[in-house]
Amino acid sequence: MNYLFYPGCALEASSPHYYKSCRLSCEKVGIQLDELEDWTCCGATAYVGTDEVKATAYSARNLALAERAGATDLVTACNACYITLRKSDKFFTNETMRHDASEALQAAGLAYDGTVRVRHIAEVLLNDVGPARIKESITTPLDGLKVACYHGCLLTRPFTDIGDPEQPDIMDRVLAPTGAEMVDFPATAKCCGGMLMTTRREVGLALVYEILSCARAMKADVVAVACPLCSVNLEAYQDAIGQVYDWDRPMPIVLFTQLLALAQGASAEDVGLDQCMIRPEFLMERFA
Amino acid sequence: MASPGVPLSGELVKELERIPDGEKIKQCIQCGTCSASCPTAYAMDYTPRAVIAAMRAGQLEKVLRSDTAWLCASCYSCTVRCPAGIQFTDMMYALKRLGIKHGITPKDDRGQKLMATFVEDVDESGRSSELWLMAKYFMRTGPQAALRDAAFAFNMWRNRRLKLVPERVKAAEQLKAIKRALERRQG
Ligand code: SF4
Ligand code: SF4
Repeated sequence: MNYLFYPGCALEASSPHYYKSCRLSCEKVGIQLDELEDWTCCGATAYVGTDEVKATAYSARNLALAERAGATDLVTACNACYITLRKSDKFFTNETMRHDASEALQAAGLAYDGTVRVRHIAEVLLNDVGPARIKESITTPLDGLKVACYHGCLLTRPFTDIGDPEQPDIMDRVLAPTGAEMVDFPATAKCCGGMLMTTRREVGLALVYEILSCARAMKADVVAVACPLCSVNLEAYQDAIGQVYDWDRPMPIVLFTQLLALAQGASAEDVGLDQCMIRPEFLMERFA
Repeated sequence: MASPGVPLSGELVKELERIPDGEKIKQCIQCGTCSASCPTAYAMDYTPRAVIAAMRAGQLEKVLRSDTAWLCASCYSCTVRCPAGIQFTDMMYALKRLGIKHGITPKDDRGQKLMATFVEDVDESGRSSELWLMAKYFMRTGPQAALRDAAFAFNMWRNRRLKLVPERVKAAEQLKAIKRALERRQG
């Protein structure tokens, strides 16, 4: 089965290991991801703060391209892209907004009729592929590994139709067939601070510390994420956290597709475990 | 320049009319669920509930001069929990826009600067690039933060997670056409 795929800037630039492992784990369950041609930045959570019509038009440009390509679904692997594209799609249901944004799209020779369904790869794996088929693809189970699945805020907020807004378990159900143990993780949908990590460091550090210390308290070996932005926020500032809080044993952060692909027979190198900023050494040895 | 408070509130309500369910803002019952759900409310001068109270009292300019909207991490906790179905996160976005439009600088303007830099980047190339975003942002906010984040950049680079040449897509031309069309309409 083929899906049209929207990588987004972060996946493409700062998380090549996520993109790579996404493709790998999807292939193992018969899914091919075809990159949307000539995609542009979705605007993330920043653009809409300056000009909402422009933000909607820019991001809907990608939806218009997907529509023109005849796709019903546009799949992304980034929580921020997921919600930004989905919001633009929703904004097209407001008449004034649709009118204004359509006019702008027209200037670029495009139109959007609102027929594309924006989806996140984690949810596609859960709902279209399903645990049974994932189970069939497992060849090297992750027995003994304790995983805390961090969903972040945007996967199930504000759109709550794919999972619980406070305690989602999408990733847990995708990864359960790997044989790893999914620990209870109350902080799973707490905010990682997003851009505040850059603009208001102390606020960002406090948020991430809460998430990481929850994972540690639940005895997780690794935290699995489904977003390139969450991933950077959780892994890149652990030194800084150690300067403010009691945090001296760093917690490795991996993409959930890296774990899935490992269980499907890929090697540490195949999934780019060496690109994790805090290396999960025990996994690198096990899957060398 | 900044207009007096009451027109500002009116303008905000008008802004929200473009957003699905935006008009629900009128139905706020001041229950405070949003503030209690907000992970950064403790650092805000006006909690989410107080923002709506200030809007009703025609005191928005004070809110815009504070850091409140720029402390919103866009986590949508308030939005999914509000019993009145108010899209409060969108309200925070609207406040950011309103401040920029009226040239009101919040007391800590780093959020505004980062966003302006991001927007320039996307306008220019159609993509955003972490490295250039950071580099330009630091030029605007001073070297202290740049030094602090040199380690971050090095770490990203070391793990082959930084693109040194920013991506530029052909579609950038289409974005420029979209931008021009909007600017024409806004006069
Ligand atoms: S939760 Fe909703 S109704 Fe309650 S104070 Fe906040 S915005 Fe108003
Ligand atoms: S979206 Fe903003 S205002 Fe709402 S709870 Fe999150 S940080 Fe607070």
